[in-house]
Amino acid sequence: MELNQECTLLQNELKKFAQQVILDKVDELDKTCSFARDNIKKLSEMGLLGAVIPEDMGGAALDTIGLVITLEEISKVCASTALITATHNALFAYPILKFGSDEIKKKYLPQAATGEIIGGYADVTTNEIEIKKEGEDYILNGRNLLVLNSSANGPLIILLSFSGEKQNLTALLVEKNTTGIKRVQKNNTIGMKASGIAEIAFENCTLSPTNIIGTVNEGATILQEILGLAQLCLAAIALGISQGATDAALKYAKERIQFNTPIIEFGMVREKIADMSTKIEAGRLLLYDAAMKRDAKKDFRTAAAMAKYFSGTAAVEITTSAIQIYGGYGYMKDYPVERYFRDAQVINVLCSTPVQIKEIIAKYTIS
Amino acid sequence: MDYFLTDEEKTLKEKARQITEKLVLPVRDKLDEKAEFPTEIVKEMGRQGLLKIFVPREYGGSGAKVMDMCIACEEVARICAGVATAYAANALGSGPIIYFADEDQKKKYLPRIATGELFCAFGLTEAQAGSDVANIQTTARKEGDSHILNGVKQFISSGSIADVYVVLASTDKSRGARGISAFIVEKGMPGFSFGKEENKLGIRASTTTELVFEDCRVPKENLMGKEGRGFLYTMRNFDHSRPGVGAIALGIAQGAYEAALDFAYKNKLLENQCIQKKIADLAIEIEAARALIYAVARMIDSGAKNFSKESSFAKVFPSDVAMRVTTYAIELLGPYGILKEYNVEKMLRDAKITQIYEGTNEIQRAVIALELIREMGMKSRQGKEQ
Repeated sequence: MELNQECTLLQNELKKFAQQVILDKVDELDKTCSFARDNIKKLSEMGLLGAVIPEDMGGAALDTIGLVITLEEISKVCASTALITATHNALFAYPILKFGSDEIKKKYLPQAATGEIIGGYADVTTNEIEIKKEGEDYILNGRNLLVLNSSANGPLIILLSFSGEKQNLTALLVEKNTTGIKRVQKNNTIGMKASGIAEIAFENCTLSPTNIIGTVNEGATILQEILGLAQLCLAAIALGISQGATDAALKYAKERIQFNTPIIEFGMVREKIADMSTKIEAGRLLLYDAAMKRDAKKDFRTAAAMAKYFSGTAAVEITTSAIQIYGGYGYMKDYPVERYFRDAQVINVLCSTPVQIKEIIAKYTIS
Repeated sequence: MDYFLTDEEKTLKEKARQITEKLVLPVRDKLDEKAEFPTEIVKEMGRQGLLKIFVPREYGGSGAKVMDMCIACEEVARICAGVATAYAANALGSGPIIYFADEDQKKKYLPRIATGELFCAFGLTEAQAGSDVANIQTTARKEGDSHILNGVKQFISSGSIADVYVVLASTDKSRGARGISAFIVEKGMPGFSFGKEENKLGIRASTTTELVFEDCRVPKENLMGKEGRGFLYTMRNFDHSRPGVGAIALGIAQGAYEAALDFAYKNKLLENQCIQKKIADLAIEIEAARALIYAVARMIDSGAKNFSKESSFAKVFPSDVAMRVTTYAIELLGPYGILKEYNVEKMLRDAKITQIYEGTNEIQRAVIALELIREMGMKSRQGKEQ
């Protein structure tokens, strides 16, 4: 698929950036589970934290194809950095832009656009929170096990059910310094160690109606709207992980000599490389097509779901194969493929698991 | 499924499960996180008689049956494959002594291995000799009544933990695989030290280190079996051990399957036909893996002469099943699946090694195919002769 000149320029710029700036520290960040703050700061200087925010609010108003290419390139080197960027754009800034009051937009979006604040998102399927109403206010008790960008300074978006029924969701914006909010457990996931995922606990945390994004019980609509964009972003990250792992495995297979032969000469290795690169190419076509549909204001939801489903599961398969090509070395933390493998697992289940997303695709396809 | 285990086998299975649930389950997160070798647990396994199952009766063991080993490995790995690897590495190291050592060597080591007093490891792999086993560079030079070992062994399970190491070294480079010999090296011998300790994706309770030999003098009584037979011993040892690796994979699969089924049931996901199909598939695959492992173990224990191919079957299929089951378990649990709290992410990390260690599944398949080609060649020759 031909990209236009603008996209190619962006792609080249990010490729260089990832190699020159991100690559050096990626292992250290993963090992120490440190939030990739410096990378994000540099990306914000490039305007990429305001990718979905319009220019009049200080954003870059990047088109979807530009955003997915950005995430793909970063993920080839550090998927955590890409996930922070994607969360901030698609799961934080975008719902505010689309459904927030003018007041909330004015308060948060200009700061979000420059990266002054980095926003987070609490996964809607891992809420274990009880809500009590007290007058106008809502009192939250419990925990969310999977808050993206929890280490960042900005607020987070959380979707809760006031009625207890799953379909009646309400989106809320929560400042992290609200009394009763505590980050309890970092480093609680298999991968994406530098993305600042953590469990957040709520202890008599009081929220007022001004925290609501959109209206009460509008959450399901908001969720559907943001999931489309989020799925494109996650597909892009999955694709980048797959490409990064395949590039590494290919390089290794050319260098590794066994039986007096570079192992790339062996049929079972070649077959893996062929499978891996075919899946990457297919995933890329699905993703770019879906992104371009969104940019053309066409219905892109089925395409986005397919792209996420395909590239998410492919990333798990491809990174598994990448470790296998490395053999024993692939199992060691000295080599990058085990990190790609762990990161792929996270992407594959975020914003709809394969089981859920197949149901979404079936539903769209049938209607 | 009922495999009509003997009473002894049932007792062993029950005992292995009890010990593991009591001792390993409460600490498995800590062992994984801190990459801590379960020394005390393995000692207790010795006291409870789990170490003597891989040692022959005449040396204080309880029979050295592959079937017993498979039963124990599955049970331990169902809770923690790291501990199962720590456990099985001992058997892998003892194997060559059991099958090929001189009477004196057997008497010297095996009774103490059976009680857990001595711990064993197998030193084969090197940086340039992974799948290409015969390419080992470690040398053993004859000097008077001794051999002088030089070289570095890599990725050795229980390296630095074990007391006794069966080490493969080349006594005659010009003879290639036929110039490789096996030595019994004890911890503390001058010139024998430990190098890098690996930081691994999974089986983190099992310690993996380099063995370093710098002019390490090994007395002639520590040459194991016959000179030049080391490669053969190695292959034969792996033929015996591969079903155990399959059983570790099976245990991981079983553990992940139970966790997934439990989660699906509690969260009412089993009403979804897509999930029903997958869970049914996994149940079938796990049972097929178990049936295959048991059949191969019974075949070996019944005195089969050649079981190299079948032993590979019993490693390749279960380890692929373990990856499919654990990968799916994460998908099914969704965002919960990637959380350490729910344990399946550890099972996935652990499962990956079973496709790699003791010969990658690619090498196994290549060896199986070679055997099939050989069989076809024999058939075709027989056809011509008739």
